[in-house]
Amino acid sequence: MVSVRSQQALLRRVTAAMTQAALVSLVVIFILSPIAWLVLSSVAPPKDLLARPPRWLPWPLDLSNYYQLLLGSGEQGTTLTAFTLRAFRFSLRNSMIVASGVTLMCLALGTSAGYAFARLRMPLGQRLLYLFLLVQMVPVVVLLIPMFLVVTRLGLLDRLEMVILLLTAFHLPFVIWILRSYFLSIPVELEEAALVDGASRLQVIRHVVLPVAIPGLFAAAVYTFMQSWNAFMIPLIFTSTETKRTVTVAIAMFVGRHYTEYGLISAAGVLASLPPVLLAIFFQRYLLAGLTAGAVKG
Amino acid sequence: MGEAMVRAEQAITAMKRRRWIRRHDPRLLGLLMVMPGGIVVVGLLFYPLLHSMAISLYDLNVRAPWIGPQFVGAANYIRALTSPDVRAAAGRSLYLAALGIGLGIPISMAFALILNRPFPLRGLVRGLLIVPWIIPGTVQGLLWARIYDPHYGALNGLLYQVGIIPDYVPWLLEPRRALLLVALANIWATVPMMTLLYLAGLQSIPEELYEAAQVDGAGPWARFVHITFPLLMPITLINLILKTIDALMLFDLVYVLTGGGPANATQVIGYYLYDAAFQRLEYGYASALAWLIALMALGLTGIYSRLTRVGEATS
Repeated sequence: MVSVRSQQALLRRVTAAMTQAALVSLVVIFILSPIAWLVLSSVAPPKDLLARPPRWLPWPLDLSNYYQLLLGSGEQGTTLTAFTLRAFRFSLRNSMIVASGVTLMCLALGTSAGYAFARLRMPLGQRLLYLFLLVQMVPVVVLLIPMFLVVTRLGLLDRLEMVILLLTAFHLPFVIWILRSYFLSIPVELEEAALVDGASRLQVIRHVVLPVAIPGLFAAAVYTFMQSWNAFMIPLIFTSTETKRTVTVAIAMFVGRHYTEYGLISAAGVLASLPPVLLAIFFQRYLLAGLTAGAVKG
Repeated sequence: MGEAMVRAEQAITAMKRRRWIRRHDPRLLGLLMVMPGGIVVVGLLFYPLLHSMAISLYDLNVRAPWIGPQFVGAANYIRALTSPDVRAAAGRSLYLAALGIGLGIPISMAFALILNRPFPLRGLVRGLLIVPWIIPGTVQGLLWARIYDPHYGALNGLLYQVGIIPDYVPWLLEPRRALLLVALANIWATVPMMTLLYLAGLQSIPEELYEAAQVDGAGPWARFVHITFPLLMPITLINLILKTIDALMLFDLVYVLTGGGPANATQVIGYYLYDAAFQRLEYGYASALAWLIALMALGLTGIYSRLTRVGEATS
């Protein structure tokens, strides 16, 4: 009797576990299968990719697309010239410059302003903070036209510095906001003790506050890097030379011009996604805090 | 008595200390520290904001520079509000939002319920959720272009192999289907984020409620209808608003996947705006339209932040 009942319970547990496994697989397939197709397209030998239906598990894996994109010099007689490949490599470098530049600028300006808003008295004080946040709520599209007109008139189009500056402006209010909240969460007694012992405010920031604030700085950095790596409209509008494009723009142009190079554009897409995806995987903990707070942003 | 005295004394010394510290800081240090960031925000956000309002009242005549900028008052706004093209583009964005809500909310709620139960590798699977969202928008466009490809796409390959279609179909050539497929691609990218929000919501529902319901003999469906669904309502509203804003702003995906075509069938409002401003160079008109869209998004954001505040207050 007892063994029959326990067998039934076991059976029920096993079915429950299997249903759960099936449902979870469904979620995983939903998320991963489109990505898997892009990755497969990038490593499939052409004949597997062009078969009808395609060979879903291509073999042997063909890494020549990645080789072409990263080191190759193009093929004679095709649309794929050495120039296109060089432009793509430039775009990866440009995205790296832009994303790092924006991150550094946002951290430097954001730490300074965020700390001041958290701990120091100043004329207009909190009202200024709310003004910053209010401006931030306005969608990017509204600001692009005047920005474009002014930048054109100043002759500063097609410059990475300008792209960095504009993206910094868009992300800075949010960075100030999360850093300010982070500084507010640090016990004020730590700083007071150091101040009473005769340290200046700047010394306190450097030796007391910043070491404690590293997780907050990190969260802001990961979020900003990812957002500016993925930025599209601003680099699209404010750059025009092939060698000044960021990788998101290069991908759009690549698809427009070399769409039939299926393997190559797929590999380019994978390469363009790697930095944000790797960042997200390694620093998920930091990112989620930023994302949920930043989800409101247009 | 003595304890209170000690505490009062401590409070007084703390106050004195704070006053001393306040005097200790150089005057205007705070202002100096805010200044660099402030210049960037004021110069690159606040000034363009005002400039944009001004532009929206003008016809800049970029195409006819000999005429120069003309003040046209509310004409740009009236044109944007009455244009059939704008109405069509806004309709497409609303279609995107409606589909994103109608399909995305049930799917993401189901996903959250699935992922909320314990299973091996749960952390890893939850980690995957973030991936579609952080792939750059243009790569998302490329990804779906590869899937919907008329000759060598995965969708054709799969349906052909299973025998659902007798021959390959050029999916994106038919206008109404193209918009539907853009919407589905967009749902793929937004469902994971919605799922994450639902997961956070599920974690805030106290376990005792379910235990009590179980004691009262409520089955799984009754528990979902009477506990889970109503308590997730704030999250549902947030997802609804975020999805709507997202649909209003969508641009990258459309730019790469369809370029607004065929025959403008996928020209959503975000794309129409880009086209009016940076292809047709109608800066005044585009600014007016941008403000109308911004006001809609701001209204939605206002509701959103009130909702999250209510959510925080009740939890």
